Amino acid sequence: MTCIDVFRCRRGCTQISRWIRFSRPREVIEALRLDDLTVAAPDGPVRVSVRVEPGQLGAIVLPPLGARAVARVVAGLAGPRSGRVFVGAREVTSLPPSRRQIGYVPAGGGLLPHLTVRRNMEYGLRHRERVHVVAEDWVRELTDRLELRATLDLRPHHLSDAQRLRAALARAAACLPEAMVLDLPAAAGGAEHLADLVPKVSPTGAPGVAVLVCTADPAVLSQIAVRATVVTG
Amino acid sequence: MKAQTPGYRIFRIANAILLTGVVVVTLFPFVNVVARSLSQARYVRAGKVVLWPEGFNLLAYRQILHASWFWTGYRNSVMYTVLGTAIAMVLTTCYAYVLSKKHLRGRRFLVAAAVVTMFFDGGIIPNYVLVSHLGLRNTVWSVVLPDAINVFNLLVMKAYFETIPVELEEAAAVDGMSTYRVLWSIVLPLSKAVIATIALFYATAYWNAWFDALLYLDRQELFPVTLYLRDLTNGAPPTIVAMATVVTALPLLVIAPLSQRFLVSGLRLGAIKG
Repeated sequence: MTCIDVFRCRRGCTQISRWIRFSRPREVIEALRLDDLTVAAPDGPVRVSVRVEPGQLGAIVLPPLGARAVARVVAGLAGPRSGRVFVGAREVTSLPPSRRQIGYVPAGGGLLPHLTVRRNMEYGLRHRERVHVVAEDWVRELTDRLELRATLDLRPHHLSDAQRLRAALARAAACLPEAMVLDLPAAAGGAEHLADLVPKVSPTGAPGVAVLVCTADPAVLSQIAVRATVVTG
Repeated sequence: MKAQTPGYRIFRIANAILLTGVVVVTLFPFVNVVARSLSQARYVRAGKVVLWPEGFNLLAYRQILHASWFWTGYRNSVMYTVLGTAIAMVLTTCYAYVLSKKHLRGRRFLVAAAVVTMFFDGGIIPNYVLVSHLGLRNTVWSVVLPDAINVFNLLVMKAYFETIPVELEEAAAVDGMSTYRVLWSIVLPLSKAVIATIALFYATAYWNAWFDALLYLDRQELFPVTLYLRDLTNGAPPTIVAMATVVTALPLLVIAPLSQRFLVSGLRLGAIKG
């Protein structure tokens, strides 16, 4: 892999991106791991443990409010009561969302309604220093893989549910996250093909992104083999 | 197409009559003032001018156009309106955004601190003492700052911000955006309607304000045009007063139709929640 894509965090530290790490042996590619993560959900505390390998889909089966609470904690938008979140060997529990390298697809997709699909996809990129050519190449590839080319100049309210989910995935994957968390409420449109979509959000030659899906939707769960251990109450 | 029921037809006719009445009542004073401004003073004093000028002349216009004090006041009013609206919008937007965060600690206190001032005012003398002790008398700030946050506008804006899905902001936070960046790049572009509406409310209030200027300003070169207008009503020829009124109302008459699109959507704020 010849691409040199350098992410620079706000404090000035630099980390070599996944593009370079993809050339390493498979065993060092990052998995997403939740170790006894206890989250204060509206219905009561939830304790979750799971390990999702790169390229795998994992599911946390919870009702919408609980699923949202767990997804927010994994993404770094809220703190856990206890437990830890790992991306590979790197503990990210206390890191802010932007430094975790975890892509987040909130319920509904979280697409900005005043921007086109193209601008939505580019949005996260604008806040990270990187080699622009590499980033642009990847976004273009992502657009083709998720069949979003025809929708690039449309706004989110012009899209079907399935297209909106694809656009949300593309937006989260545009920054090349090491893992992804999806908050999919019941009957999220387009989620019935999630297992086909997820492999498309990793660059060619990479083992794939570990994707954790927080949902109670049977149509989604039927596609996912790895289940988290969840203890409620 | 669905046929109209007799009851609905009656409702529409009654509605049309009522709204026509409202339009007449709203327009009449303005047309009357314009007619007076174009009439001779003796006809106005005799009460003969209603909707049409009597003894048409442009003397009042000529006098106003050459009155330097009027244009100084006009310039001051423009400055107070622009500066005041800008400051008020920044303060109100930031305060409303903070109050719209349900997880904020002390949010209820902050809301109460604002709402209390809506019902209980300090009064003229305490306000005067405060402004004087802050050293703001005879400065631009004595007109601009005291009304910088209107609680009604604040609550309208807060209600609007609360309708913006929190997921949009969270997705942006994951992208590494700061709170101010989220406010600037996501919340404000999604709130154009309420911002335009509130800005219009503030601009109108600042343009029409004269009482703060009367209290806190002694230097004539700082007077807003509305204060001159108020002084004119004590003894100036009625045509001059009418003319000054027309010219003073002109900017708002120009701005209001231009912002109508935003105003209509802004007025619906809070009508539907969820």
